[in-house]
Amino acid sequence: MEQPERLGTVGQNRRMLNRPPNPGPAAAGADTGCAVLFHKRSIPARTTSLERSTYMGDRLQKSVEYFQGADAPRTRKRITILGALIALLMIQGLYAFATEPEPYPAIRLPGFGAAPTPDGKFANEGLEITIRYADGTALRPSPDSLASDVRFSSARTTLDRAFRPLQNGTRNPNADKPEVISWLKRQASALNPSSPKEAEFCWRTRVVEIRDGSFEYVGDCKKLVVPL
Amino acid sequence: MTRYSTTRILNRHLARLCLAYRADYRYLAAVRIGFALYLLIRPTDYSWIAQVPAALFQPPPGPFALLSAPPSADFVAMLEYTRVILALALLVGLRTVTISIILSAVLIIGAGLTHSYGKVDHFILFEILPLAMAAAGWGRAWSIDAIVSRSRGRNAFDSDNGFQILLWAITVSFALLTAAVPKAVRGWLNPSREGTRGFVARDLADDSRLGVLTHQIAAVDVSAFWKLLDYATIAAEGMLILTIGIPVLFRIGVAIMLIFHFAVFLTLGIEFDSYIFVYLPFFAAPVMAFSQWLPHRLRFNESM
Repeated sequence: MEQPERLGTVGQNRRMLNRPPNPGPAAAGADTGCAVLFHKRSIPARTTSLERSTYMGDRLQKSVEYFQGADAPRTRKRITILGALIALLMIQGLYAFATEPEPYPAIRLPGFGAAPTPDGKFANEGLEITIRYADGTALRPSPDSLASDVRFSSARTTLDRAFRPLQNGTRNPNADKPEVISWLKRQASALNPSSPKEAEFCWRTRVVEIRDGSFEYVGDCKKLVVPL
Repeated sequence: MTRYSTTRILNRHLARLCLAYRADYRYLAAVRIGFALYLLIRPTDYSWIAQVPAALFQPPPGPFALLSAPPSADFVAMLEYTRVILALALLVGLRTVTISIILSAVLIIGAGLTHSYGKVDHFILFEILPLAMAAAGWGRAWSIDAIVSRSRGRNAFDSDNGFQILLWAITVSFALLTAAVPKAVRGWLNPSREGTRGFVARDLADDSRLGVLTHQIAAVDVSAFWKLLDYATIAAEGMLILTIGIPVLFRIGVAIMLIFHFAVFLTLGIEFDSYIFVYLPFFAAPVMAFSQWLPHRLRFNESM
């Protein structure tokens, strides 16, 4: 009569874990990777708690084999790669936050700036643009409609770079470059059929009321006029 | 005692994580095809670089700062053509690893040049995705590479990619953490300051590109609602990194991020649709499990 397979006691299962390392399937040349831990054996439908503990002990043994066997160097390599990636992310992150303006490429997502004040005010630097045309028309386009050929998110920055007075208050030299004036004239012409005469830029603090998005300008205007 | 040392426990946990993050190659192939189609259908425009005055060329700090002059119009056009060719090669899975690496380089160069005329947009994860997915094997199924591999008698499915997906999970969650930390230190956690509301108000004041629901959400005058949004935003972005060790929670967190991006699109008009591809690799396990369960379920229903 065939004897049923004897299941080990908990103590026997523990002793099983103390067996010498087994090189495992990896020694035979198979690329087992992580999958060795989760070989295709499944728990039978009807099991006792002892059988289940034996099964779990077997899985644990497989884990031990995995890390003591032929795959151990691979695991060490993976931990090294993991550590290197984390270190790289941290270092480049510190660099990205410490550097102004923001560097690229860097693994970083937008922070969306500071929160408004507790009284519901949000202050930032606004830009008012006025384009005056030969027929007497004066338009007040938004930065992205004036710099319409620039990527939407970069329009304001492009105009700042081109025309905003420098830190010491002097006139931006870019504003007098023929290619910049020619570009501005082309952009202004696209907004109105009449010939553009001049463009006026005014940077000043804008205070936005967060309840309804209304705003008011405060302080002095950093003004720049570009004859076209 | 040493057998159960911290290192060994860490090792075992790493191995289990590898398995939990493992992505079916057919699923990754679908991501690859979707990514390539996206590049072909909705490519980022580089051509405007050639229209803007060279005087405004100010590369951001980093490798692009080494450029002393902007690229020529021909170079920009060549960059766009190269991207199309690479996207087509990626679509059919030709030399996928090499093509993916070059494609990432092209996307980074294109983005770096556009950022040289304005602010840095934050699509870096989309740009390095081909690099990460090439390592994960997104060309091993439904590709010319797979056909060639089979014809040479190699089994394209004999390896696993859980570790590579785990590295991608760490990268993505770190990137999201960099969005949460500035908010946390700049007043978004202060109960009396409403960061999200301020951002919506700023968009309203600019009156430029608004979301479909910007006006509707701006009309909500309930401080608790806005504060909840602030906390939820920081939690969704900042907590993801803590869930990497529990893949199920991580996937839930990523799903929340997808909802978050969609809400940002509706309320602020900021398009992060390309980031769908950044998050998709994490959903391989549930999608493949569902795809295996569904036919069984249908057969079971037919037999009833």
